[in-house]
Amino acid sequence: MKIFIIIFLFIQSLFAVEFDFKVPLESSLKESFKRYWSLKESESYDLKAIYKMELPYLRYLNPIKKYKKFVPPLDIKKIEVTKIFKNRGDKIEVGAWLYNFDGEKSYFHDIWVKMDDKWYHRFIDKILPF
Amino acid sequence: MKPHILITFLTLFATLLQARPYCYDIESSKISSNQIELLHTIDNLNIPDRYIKKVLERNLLFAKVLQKRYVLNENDREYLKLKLAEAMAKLYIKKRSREFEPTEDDIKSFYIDHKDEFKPSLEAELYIMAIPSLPLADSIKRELTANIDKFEELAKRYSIDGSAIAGGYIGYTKLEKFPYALRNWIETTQQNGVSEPIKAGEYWFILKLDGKRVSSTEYKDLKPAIKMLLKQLVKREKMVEEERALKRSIL
Repeated sequence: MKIFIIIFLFIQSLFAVEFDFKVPLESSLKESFKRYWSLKESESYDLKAIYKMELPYLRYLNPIKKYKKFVPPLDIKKIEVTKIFKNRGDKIEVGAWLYNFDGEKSYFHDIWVKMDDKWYHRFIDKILPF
Repeated sequence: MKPHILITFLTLFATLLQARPYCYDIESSKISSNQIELLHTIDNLNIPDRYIKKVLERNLLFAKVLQKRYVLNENDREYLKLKLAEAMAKLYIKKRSREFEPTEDDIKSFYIDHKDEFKPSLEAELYIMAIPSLPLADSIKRELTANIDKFEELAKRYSIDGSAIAGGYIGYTKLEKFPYALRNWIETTQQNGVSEPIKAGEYWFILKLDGKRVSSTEYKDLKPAIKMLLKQLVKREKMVEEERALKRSIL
């Protein structure tokens, strides 16, 4: 039994997203960030769980059916957070590199908002006129 | 037969030929009872029963068309179908309005996300009168100088602005909503009172200032406006979806 668990954990670790924070972030934010991007990875993709991590008003404006179009599963090997653009305490914008398994990398901005001691992801929706 | 009798006879005959079909020839009092039949049978609109019921609840476009005894041609029919779809979508969304209430978390998260964008601005509590000519505006001003308390009464009587019904009262309003000439008077005036007639656009305005304040950016003060905005955005989206579905089923 133990050997199966070891094999399972080994296989799981092969697909787990690796995170590298080059800038200091609040530990609760780091955890939320890791969880969000791990859930987006194609092997562990979980739309409902990702949706729950989005800001409440954006969920209100975008039903999950519509939201689904914005968040396809991604091939992610590693994410490297390299820059903090804005930090207001309860809202932070970071810059990060995303590496896939083909060795390609892409840059993205990620915004997080803190409400009642919980961090929520802020995706860019298409409804708001501002 | 004499020619004028013949002409009268022919005119009557021509009028009869031009008469509308029976189904369009409905008296206003009978409109509601005839609408179901009409919607079902005329123009092959193929509208689902649940929408017909909703249309009947309000005297919508069909009633107007019928009252005017308007005969539909091909273009009118298409236009009517589109209008009907819009009207039905509006009605449907209005009925479902309660389902779109944002929660406290929705409103609060919007506020936190957009906190930087809420800037304090100057607001004024105002009564306003829009008068079409200067002589009339001057005579109103003279009356106001004698008795400032007559503002509401005079606004109701002479103002052509929509606020006349409320005695010209428009409540606390952001200054950027006013034309420059009016804004300038509000900004520079030192105490509450009534302005001289001020020209803005085609009309002469007389303002009564009751106070100034700087707008709040606190959550509790912005909450009602955010709630309304979020609700409107969702309603608009839902309406577009509903209209699209209706047009697909009707057209």
